[in-house]
Amino acid sequence: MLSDPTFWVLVAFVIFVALVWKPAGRMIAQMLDERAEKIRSDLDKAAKLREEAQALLAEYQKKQRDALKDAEAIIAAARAEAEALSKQAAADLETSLKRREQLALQRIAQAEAQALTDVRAAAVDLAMQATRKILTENLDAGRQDALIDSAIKELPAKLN
Amino acid sequence: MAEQHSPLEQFEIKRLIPVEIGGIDASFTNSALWMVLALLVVSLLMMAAMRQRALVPGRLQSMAEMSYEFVAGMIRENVGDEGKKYFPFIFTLFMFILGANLLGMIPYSFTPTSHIIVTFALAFVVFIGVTAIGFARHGLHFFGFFVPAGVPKALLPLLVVIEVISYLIRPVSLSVRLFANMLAGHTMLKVFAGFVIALGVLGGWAPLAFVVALTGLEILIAFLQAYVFTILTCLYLNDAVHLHH
Repeated sequence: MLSDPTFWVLVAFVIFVALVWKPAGRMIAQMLDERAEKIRSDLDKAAKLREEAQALLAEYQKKQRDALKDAEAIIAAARAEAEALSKQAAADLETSLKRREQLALQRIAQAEAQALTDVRAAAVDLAMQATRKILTENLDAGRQDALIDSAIKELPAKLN
Repeated sequence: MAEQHSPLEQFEIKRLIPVEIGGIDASFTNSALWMVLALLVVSLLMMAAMRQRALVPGRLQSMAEMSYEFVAGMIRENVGDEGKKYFPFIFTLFMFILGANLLGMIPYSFTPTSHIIVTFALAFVVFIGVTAIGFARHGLHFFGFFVPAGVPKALLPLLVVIEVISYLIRPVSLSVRLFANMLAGHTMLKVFAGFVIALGVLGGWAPLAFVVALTGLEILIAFLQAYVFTILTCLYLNDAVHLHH
């Protein structure tokens, strides 16, 4: 056996393994453990990132919902305001129309009164002319003058 | 000292189960046995490593994953994305050669990769496969591979001949590299172990220490040659896939 080279290769092999086993084993084990650790930390990181992304998404979804709600509220407010404005405008229009009507009616009444006094004055003038004509034609001069004088004196009292 | 040992007797092929099919010797030899063992060890190791399929790998699983990533990275760097579909073959090749090389390091075992017929068979499979892939992908354009671009017309015939020869020599160089490394390494181990015997108890320590160092070197070479064989396969595959030097 001792004269077999392969036996000495075996001896060398055993020595080599004995020398290398511990340090190499430790090194390899450490490397493999570090790799596992790295994978674990990567996974954790990825999970955390995912969580953060989900939180962000939820936040933005909430923001979007809020914005939608705000927009709806703004639209409703605007609509209500517009309605109120249009109601106000209608009321204003009605009052102004009423006032104008009243004004017009007053003017009409005034014009009527004016017309009546005008007509009455015209009638008086006409009557006075007619009376003068009749009296100048039918009366003698003396009487005529006396009558005219009295008539003239009486006239303002009768008319007013 | 009754028996004489030759450093080369470790490479002797022995018929373990004699089989003869139609006059052809198809015996199950020690070489075949150790190839089967390499296959079994690699397969069982891989299956055992990946049995748990943990998200965070244990040590054994990490080793399997690293060998996977190692070969995948090699293919990605040398062949690109088109090389992905050849991953199973390249990975098998690498793990088989590595397994055979490392099992051969165990004393009293046998190293199939120290036989040119084994490495040549592997290299020839690679050569045929790569050439077939080249023709399948590029058809007759694959012959353009032998015509270097930007060369004076006068030199072209000579260069085409050189290119063809260098292409045809690939399986030989690929197989000889692995076989010669294994043969030389194991021979050296046995030669120096023989010195231990020759120098006896007094002087034998020095060659023994050398054999210890050589064992470490040979384990390194076992990895290195498996790597070299695989990366050359990748490069040849790249030539066939992309058709340029």
